[in-house]
Amino acid sequence: MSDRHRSSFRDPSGYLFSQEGTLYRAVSDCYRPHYDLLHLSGLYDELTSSGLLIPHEEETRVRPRGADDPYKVLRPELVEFISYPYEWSFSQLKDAALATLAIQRRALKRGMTLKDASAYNIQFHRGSAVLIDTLSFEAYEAGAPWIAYRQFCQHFVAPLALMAYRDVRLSGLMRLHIDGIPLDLATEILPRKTLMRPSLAIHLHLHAWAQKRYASSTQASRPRKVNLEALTSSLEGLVRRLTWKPAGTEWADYYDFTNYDEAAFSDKRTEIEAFVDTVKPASVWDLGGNTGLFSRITSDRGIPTVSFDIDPAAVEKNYLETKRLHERMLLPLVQDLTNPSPALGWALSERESLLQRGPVDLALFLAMIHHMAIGNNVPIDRVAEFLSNCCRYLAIEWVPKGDSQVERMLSSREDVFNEYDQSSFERAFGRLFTIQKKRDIPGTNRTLYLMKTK
Amino acid sequence: MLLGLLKPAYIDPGTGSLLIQGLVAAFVAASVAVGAFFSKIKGAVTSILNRKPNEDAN
Repeated sequence: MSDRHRSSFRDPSGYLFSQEGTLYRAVSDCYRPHYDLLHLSGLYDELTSSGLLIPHEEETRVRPRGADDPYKVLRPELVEFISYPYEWSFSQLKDAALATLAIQRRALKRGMTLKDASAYNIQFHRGSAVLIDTLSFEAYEAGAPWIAYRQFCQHFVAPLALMAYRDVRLSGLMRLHIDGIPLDLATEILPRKTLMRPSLAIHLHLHAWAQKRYASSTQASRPRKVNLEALTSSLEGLVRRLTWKPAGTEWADYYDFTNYDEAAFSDKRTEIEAFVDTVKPASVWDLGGNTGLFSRITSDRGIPTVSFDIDPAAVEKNYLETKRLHERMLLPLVQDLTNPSPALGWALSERESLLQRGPVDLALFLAMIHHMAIGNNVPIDRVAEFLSNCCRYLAIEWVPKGDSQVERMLSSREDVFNEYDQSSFERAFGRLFTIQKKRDIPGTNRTLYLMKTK
Repeated sequence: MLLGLLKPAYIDPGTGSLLIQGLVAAFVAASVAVGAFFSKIKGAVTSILNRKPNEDAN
């Protein structure tokens, strides 16, 4: 039986497979000259030493089962958590675009070019955007056009322009269109003023027009000789000029408006630190992590931590902070827990759902239960069920009805949540978890629990 | 013309996307040339303006 990954089928240059829990990349015979050139040209060394390409070891003893003997088998360095462009904040997508162009620029100098420019080939690894597909390069012949230009514009330029000029939430279109946002759709949504920006007018508006104009052309294309360095510079300038500033959203200023006083906040932090020191997790998800205040309890201890939040402004702030502090263990991501990332793509096997990427050792679910149970009408036992599929240990904060945050949520609606009380909460979670610690937070009416899945 | 440079690709490069690249690169090259031209003029004007006070001082 083949051990090939079901998501790895598009590129005939090679594929991913796993054996005994280790990930490998098979390099097909047809890709041999390009793979050899990647090493002989010095490009592999340059890109891996500058942190732009994931490094690998060549394996001589491992071979994929149920497949022809490949030219090479590589064991790439593992990325802790695979994330997708529709989960990135604006600056994450922008940094991924700039990394792609930096790689292309260096490749061109060494006689190679990127044959694809998929945003899914970029991952955030130890705080930086890095290319994970070692087989994305091919020999470059001077004057040839960039095969991946269309893909780059759909995966990076269109979503970034939509986020910058229309609404940051439009990155969600990447979830709908797995090969990037169609340029004709992007130009329909973008404001007319983007026609006045020469680079956007060309790379998006004129590009979309040309795609439409030649869509039904059956003649072999006769492109002009292209200066790829100039094309890359133009795209770099365009991407650098696109900006978005998080401001005025509900959650990005959350910590300024909580009902915690300083002492209670400090007590909550101390209790969570104690939970973490008890569990000693290998990996952590902070579900509803806002700008990452509590996520840093674990990432500062060297534990790979993903900080999820629904608010793109909070995630943007968190990401910019990880860059400022050169944090390598914290990955902020946009995630709506009332509608988490699903499995996507062909046969639902190209992109994994959030749950397929777990379970994680420890999940933090702090000041979140009322948002699920009251804000989204999810019965408490179903919240417990979802969380038991996410993690092995759970640090969860109970927020009762008397809490000002809950009162605010109920001020404009009927209270139909008769089951929302602490004993029902303990009963529902007790079916799937063992409660290991229970700590009231002094000065508040909230309680922290450490639980372990049964 | 340059058909020999077009290798078979596993992704669809798009006919329109291939054709427009020549135009983009030509536009960028022209922008660089125009920019260089104006920066030369600017440089020349600046140097003349900077020279005058010095000459007056002398």
